[in-house]
Amino acid sequence: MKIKKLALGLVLGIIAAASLASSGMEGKVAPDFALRSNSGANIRLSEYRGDVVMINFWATWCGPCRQEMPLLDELYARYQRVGFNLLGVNIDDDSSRAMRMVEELGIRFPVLFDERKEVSKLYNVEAMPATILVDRAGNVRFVHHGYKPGDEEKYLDQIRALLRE
Amino acid sequence: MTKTIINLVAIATLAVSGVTVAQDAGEATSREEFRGLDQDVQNLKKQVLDLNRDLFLLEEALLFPANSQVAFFISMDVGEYFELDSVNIKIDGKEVANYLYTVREADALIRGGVHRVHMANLKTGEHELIAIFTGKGPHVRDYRRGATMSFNKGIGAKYVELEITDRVRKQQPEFVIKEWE
Amino acid sequence: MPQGRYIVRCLILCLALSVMTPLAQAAQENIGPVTIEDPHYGEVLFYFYQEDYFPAIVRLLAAQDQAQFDEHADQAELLLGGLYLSYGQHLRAAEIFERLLADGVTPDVRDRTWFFLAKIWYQRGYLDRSREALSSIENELPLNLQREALMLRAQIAIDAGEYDQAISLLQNWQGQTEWASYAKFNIGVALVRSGRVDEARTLLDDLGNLNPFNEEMTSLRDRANLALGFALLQDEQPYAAKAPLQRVRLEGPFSNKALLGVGWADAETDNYRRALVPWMELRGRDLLDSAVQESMLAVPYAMAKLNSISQAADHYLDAIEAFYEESTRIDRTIGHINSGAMFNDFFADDSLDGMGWFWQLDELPEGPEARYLFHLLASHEFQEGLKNYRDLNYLNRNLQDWQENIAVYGNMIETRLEAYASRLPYVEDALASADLDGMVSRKLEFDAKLENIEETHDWLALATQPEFDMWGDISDLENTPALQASLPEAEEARDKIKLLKGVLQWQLERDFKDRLWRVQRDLRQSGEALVATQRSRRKITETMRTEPQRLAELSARVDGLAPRIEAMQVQVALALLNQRVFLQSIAVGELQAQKQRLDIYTVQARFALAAIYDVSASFGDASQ
Repeated sequence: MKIKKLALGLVLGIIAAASLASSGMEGKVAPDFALRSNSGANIRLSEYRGDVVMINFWATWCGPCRQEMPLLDELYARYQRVGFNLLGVNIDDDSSRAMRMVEELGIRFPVLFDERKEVSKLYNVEAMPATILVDRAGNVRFVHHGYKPGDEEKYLDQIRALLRE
Repeated sequence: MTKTIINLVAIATLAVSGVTVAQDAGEATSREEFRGLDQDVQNLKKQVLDLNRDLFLLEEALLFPANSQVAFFISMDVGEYFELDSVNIKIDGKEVANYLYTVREADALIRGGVHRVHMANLKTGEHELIAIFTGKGPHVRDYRRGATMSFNKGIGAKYVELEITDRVRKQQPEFVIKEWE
Repeated sequence: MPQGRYIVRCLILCLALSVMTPLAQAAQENIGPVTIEDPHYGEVLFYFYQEDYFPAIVRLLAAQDQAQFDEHADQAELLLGGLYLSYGQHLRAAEIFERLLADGVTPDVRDRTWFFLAKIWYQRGYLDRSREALSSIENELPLNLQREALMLRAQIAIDAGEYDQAISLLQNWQGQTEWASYAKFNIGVALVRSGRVDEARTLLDDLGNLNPFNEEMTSLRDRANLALGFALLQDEQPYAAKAPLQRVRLEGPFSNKALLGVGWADAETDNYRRALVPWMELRGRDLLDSAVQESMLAVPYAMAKLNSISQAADHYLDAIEAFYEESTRIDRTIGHINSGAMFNDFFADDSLDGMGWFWQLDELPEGPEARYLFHLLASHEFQEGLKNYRDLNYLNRNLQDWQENIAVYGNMIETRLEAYASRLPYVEDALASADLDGMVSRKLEFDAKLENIEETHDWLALATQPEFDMWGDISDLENTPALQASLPEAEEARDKIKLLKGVLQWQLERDFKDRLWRVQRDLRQSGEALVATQRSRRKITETMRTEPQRLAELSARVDGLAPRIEAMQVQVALALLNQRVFLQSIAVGELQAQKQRLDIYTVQARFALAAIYDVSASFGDASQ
């Protein structure tokens, strides 16, 4: 028990501390990747050129992720018609846990499985959740680490700005 | 280039033996006929040579090979619909590629596209390749096949084409491997 | 940028459009006409606070003319009224305020309007109406206006002789502000004038003993003491009179009168010897002062009382001589003034930039008339006259500036016309050569083509030129007859070709979506540019139609203004002359008054002298 709590505390501490870190990716081309998705199909980032893409890295053991995801789902529902795509990248070792959570929360946007954590490494993800916004030309424009209530407003503004381009 | 020279010799041999067979088969073919045939064959060979030269130039333009490199390609030639899901390649026991194909990409392959899935820098000598592909066939959902081969890396660049085809066995796609130097 | 067949043509379209737009913009450049733009409330206030009433009024009027104050209309009117008042235009101000009251405005505005009206009535002498206006104020005015209103009420009471009312009004005043002290002084003096000396005494004594915190208060204290002293003297209380008189500063501007008064106080109690002390001191001072002049007679008077007859006679003779010399000097000065030289000195180093009601000439410039006209500075009439003169001068300069500007504007408009005429053919050519309609239809063609490409997933259409050429080469190779030979080499070649073609195809398919999006975006942007250009073209053709007319109208307005300016200049010059004559006459009048006083004193001296001679003569007769 104690060790588990300690580990959890460590994890939370890391999350809290790292939420201030930036990954230095803004302005660069978003690295391409392909992952298996919860619909069975494989999904590749570069096939979304021309659209705005939000990549949201999450895990089942991350509390703020759980808070954030329903709000992101709403964003997806509202703006998908006008060229906005949300890719949720789950980094759990066991993807079935992720699937259960997706069903529980009623998430509609595609969820990709990065069990080998290759993509999260590619994107210098240090804290959960991590949200990357990619513009129509395929460049990383905004990077957010962590989530606190109210952030979704910022996301909304940024998404709308990128959609206008 | 080595193979070409060998083949030229082979052609000559064949040509000779072709003539021999014809003679053995019955009336001797006239000298003129032979010369004409030979000429045709020579012309053909030249054309093929030219072709090769053009191809080589195209290769340079398209593929930019470096001498130490081996390029691996995935292509498809299937009669029944087969949706490719992933390809995994190991060289000498180490995984070098694990490519997931989207629907669009899979369709491109079916339409004749060829995917360069991996480029490797390999030392000259023998190497072992293990390739596995997965996908969905019309009847079988999780279809999985693999192929193993040893290949020799010479001095120049090398191409290895892994063709997924059901030519050999209907509705059962498998890897057919071709090599070029 | 990739350069496939279709894309190349799109690029040319885009380039053509981007060249078009600057041309359009150049031809569209607008000149601001010669009107005042956007005078905010704030700008008007800006001039008001710098006491530049004239430009403030001008701006306000212009803004109202252009209907720029929809919400602030009432406030603007109020401000205008206040400005007119400050500028000295009572009648105009009154008109505005009365109109505001009739219009039904917010209570805030109404109260302030009543206040301003009260001020105007008072300045025109209608005390009752002023009072009425003040009592119409319902709520509290802003603090600074409150004080002014109270002062006004007190002043009205004083002028109406209701001293008790005035006193009680001021008693509510907390603290020793200057206004309160001045009011008290006025009350005191008024009380004295109406014979209520004892009441006056308390007030003036208070003031006479106050602790001053600046020069003005010190001066007021002196005046209070002086007033009290002389009041008591008149009231035949010479003993009481001395104390306040002695409180007057010896080096102050009122010390002469005080010295005179002290002497009289002693004289009234038959203490002539003591009286001589201040009078002798006084006698040695500047003869310009009437107190000094009086002392020249008072000294021999006292001496005579002390039986120093011959000395008295000598002093009288001195006095007469001195008075005569002084009179001559005054004559000379009058001549100097009448020649007009005085005004040149007055305004020599005056900047004449500020104007308005509250300006005052604080110091006289040096010159012979300076000593005589010191009194004039205190005179309300003279200050008013000077203000008007300054204002007229300002107007004159203002008109001169406008005359110059009008010439410049006329020039500007002409230049404008020329520039327009010279640019016109260039613009017309540009419009004619830019085949906008052709571009629009080509753009629409592109739209359709691109839609088709998207629908059919035609990845080859978006290939770059090299890629496309390569595809062609490969296709040609594919069709080589040699390839069909059943030779292993041919088979190998066939396989190779298939590989190469496949690799190229894969690349093209992969890049298709990205390229498609980019071309769509560029096409959309071209479309937007086209729309903007069409809009520009419409504007240009419109401007081409209306510009000459507009410039002609401006030119006419400018032409119309020039004679008006000239006419006004003539009027102002005339007014200036009249004002000058008026001021000169005041000055001369003042000097002549002084001369008269000297004459009177001279006569008195002669009489006294004659009396002395008679006495000594009779003594002389008697002694014989």
